[in-house]
Amino acid sequence: MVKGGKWFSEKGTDRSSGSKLFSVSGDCEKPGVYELSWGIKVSELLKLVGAKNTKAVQIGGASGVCIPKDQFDRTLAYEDVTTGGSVMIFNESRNMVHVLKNLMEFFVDESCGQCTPCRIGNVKLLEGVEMIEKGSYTFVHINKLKNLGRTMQVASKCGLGQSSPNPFLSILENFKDEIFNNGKGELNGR
Amino acid sequence: MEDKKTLRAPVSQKPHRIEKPEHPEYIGGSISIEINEKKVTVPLGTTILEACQQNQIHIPTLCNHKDLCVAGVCRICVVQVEGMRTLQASCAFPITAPIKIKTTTNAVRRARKHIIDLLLSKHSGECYSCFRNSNCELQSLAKEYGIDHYNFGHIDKPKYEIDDSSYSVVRDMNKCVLCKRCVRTCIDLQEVGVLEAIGRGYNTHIGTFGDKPLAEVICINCGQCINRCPTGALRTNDSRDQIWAAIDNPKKHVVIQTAPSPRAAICEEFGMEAGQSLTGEMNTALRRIGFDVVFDTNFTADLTIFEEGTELIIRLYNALVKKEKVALPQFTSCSPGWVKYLEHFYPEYVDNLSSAKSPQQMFGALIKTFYAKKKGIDPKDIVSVAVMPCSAKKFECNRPEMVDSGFKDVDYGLTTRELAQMIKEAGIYLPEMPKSHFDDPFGEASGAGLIFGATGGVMEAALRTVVEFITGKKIENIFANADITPVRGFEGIKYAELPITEVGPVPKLIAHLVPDWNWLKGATLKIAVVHGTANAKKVMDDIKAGGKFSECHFIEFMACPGGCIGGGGQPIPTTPEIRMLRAKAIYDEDKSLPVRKSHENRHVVEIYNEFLTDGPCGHISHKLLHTHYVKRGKYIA
Repeated sequence: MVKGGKWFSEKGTDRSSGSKLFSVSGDCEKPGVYELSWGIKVSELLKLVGAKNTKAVQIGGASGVCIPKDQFDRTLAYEDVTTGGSVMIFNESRNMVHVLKNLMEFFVDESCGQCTPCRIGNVKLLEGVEMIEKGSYTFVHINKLKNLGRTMQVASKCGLGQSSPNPFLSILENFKDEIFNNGKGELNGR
Repeated sequence: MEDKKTLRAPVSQKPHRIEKPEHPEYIGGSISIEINEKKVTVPLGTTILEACQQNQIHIPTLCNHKDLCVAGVCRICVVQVEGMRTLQASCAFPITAPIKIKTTTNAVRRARKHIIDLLLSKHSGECYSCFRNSNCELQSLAKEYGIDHYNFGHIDKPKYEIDDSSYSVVRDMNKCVLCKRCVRTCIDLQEVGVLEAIGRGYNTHIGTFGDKPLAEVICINCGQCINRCPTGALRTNDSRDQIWAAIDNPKKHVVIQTAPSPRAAICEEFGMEAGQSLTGEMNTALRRIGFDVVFDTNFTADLTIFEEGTELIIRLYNALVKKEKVALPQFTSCSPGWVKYLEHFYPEYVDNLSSAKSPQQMFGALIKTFYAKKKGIDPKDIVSVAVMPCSAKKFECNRPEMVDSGFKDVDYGLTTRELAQMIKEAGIYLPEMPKSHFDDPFGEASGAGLIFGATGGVMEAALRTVVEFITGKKIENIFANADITPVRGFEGIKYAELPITEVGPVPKLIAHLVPDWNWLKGATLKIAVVHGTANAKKVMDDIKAGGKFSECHFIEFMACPGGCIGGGGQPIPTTPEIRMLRAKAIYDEDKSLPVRKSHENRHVVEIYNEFLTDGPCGHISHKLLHTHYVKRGKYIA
């Protein structure tokens, strides 16, 4: 306010100017609310908050995307990984199937139950995660569920159902080695 | 009438259909759009669904219904609109910009299939053990999209208990797909407000207040929810088995009476187009099924006109001449849904209801007294069945006060749908039956009784008689062809005034009740016709506030939109167009009948000479043909 709008807009990137309050939580030494410029790299942020052995970062809350280690040079900005401010950090000790299950349980709870894709779709996605957890899945079925997720993204009535398949799709895509290459879901770090 | 905000129907629940411009041909009244690369012009505010339907493009729907407000919850009707990230529900998308629509993209087809898959995964039960088999919207959607297996599993155990506590409506929520048509019917269309979605997310289910059984809430049994349910989740409490048992029992004399509306609608159950009367064919079929005699409820409809008309005359005489305090306007009591609605919502007005029973119950009482005596049959061996377009009639015949013959007056109510089922079970194809007449001693009924089936019919029938009684002139001289058009039509609330300019002599039948008609000379008879309980609510609130309708003398109320032809026991589906065709069938049949006025029905006159010897509203008729009502209120313990 004191320094004026021009100074403020010099911060950040072209399309995301200024600063942003980030709420950082999870496996790090200094969780909390940080005011940072838009355009900061994920790896820079992780360093700042003292996160070690980080495996994954869930950006944009439960309905955001989950990015793995090899994408940590991506930037937090509207043009890259966008967020309302929520950053959740998971280190190597976390089981991504459990993370996903937790997120899907949240959406099953939060669905209001009006429209079909969200009301039943989220439950079907959660059932799929549980199948993966038990190791009783088939890839045919998982692919069906991924397609279902894509339908939910476009056919649900409101934003909740449209974004609730995001973690399902992004975690299964970005962590497929961990989740599927380990036979029956007996995963690292459990 | 102003649409008042009411507690029972929250405004938020009423996003009614979008207003269209009065003159779409004016500049700005219409808009050019592209559907599947074809240019079309539609009036501004047309929904994508309507635009597609007008251009012969089929869009599947489930939660959408012509009688109800938009919901947009099933998502089966989604289409792609260019420039939009998500698919749009076409039923809930009014066109206000020159958009480009695609209805068959991969995303659209995939989404529709997914939605059907998801609905089926939670739809318990199998098609072959469901009464809606081959008339189910979910089933036809599955067929349309070639669903050959359950992609996302199938619920194996029923989750909810079937609620068959009500005499009329049975709810099996395991088959519910949460389209919420029943909720919108109950809250918006009928403004009763018994059904509502309970819980959220996957645990959402349709229930009553506190999940009480339907018999313990203020359900009026109109059955409109059944008519609009796309699946078999709602149905009537079926008594076919007991009726078959009675037919099979040689000791029982099974009597059936048929109301006017089923005959005008039953053709739809046999694949025919709506609006064709199968009266004679139905009579033959009923005899072949094994009913011993077939009577016409129109006969007691004529009787109702005598009783209800006389009651009105007595009320008016007491009010105008004797200056007594009398409950006016008099309300009709033929519609059991309406009667229960009034008992629940306006219990302080039960005195305004005509004490005359409905035609069904009058017939029940006569069959087990007059007819039994005449034929020498022990009334306890008579099983009396009534074919009605109505689910509430099942409740009505089970009312504890309806035992004036010494027995249960009417044993079973049967809906049009159930009768069609019985006819099919008997291996009969109804449209091919030869025609036959009703049985004596109630063989003849007038057209006045017949038109009871459509809204305005009771009023028209009553006027045909009352006007002739009072003026002594033929009704044809006042209204061409005796068609009293001011009370016809599907307008929600109709109001008419009939000035009485001249009076004639008092007919013999009621001469002991009123000495002359001079007290009515110069008066204006004010009447109203109301159908659908949402409209009834408006009129009742107006009466309560001392408005225009409180000055009426006689008001006809029907619980169902369109009157009995749109009743809760009629063939599914029902739409405004189908109701209009059914009404036309009834009015056409009325036109073709030789006797069109209740008082010209010689059998009715005979019964007053033979049996009800002290005339309409006399002692005997009061015992058998009149009843009383219960002030139920909204709170049921």
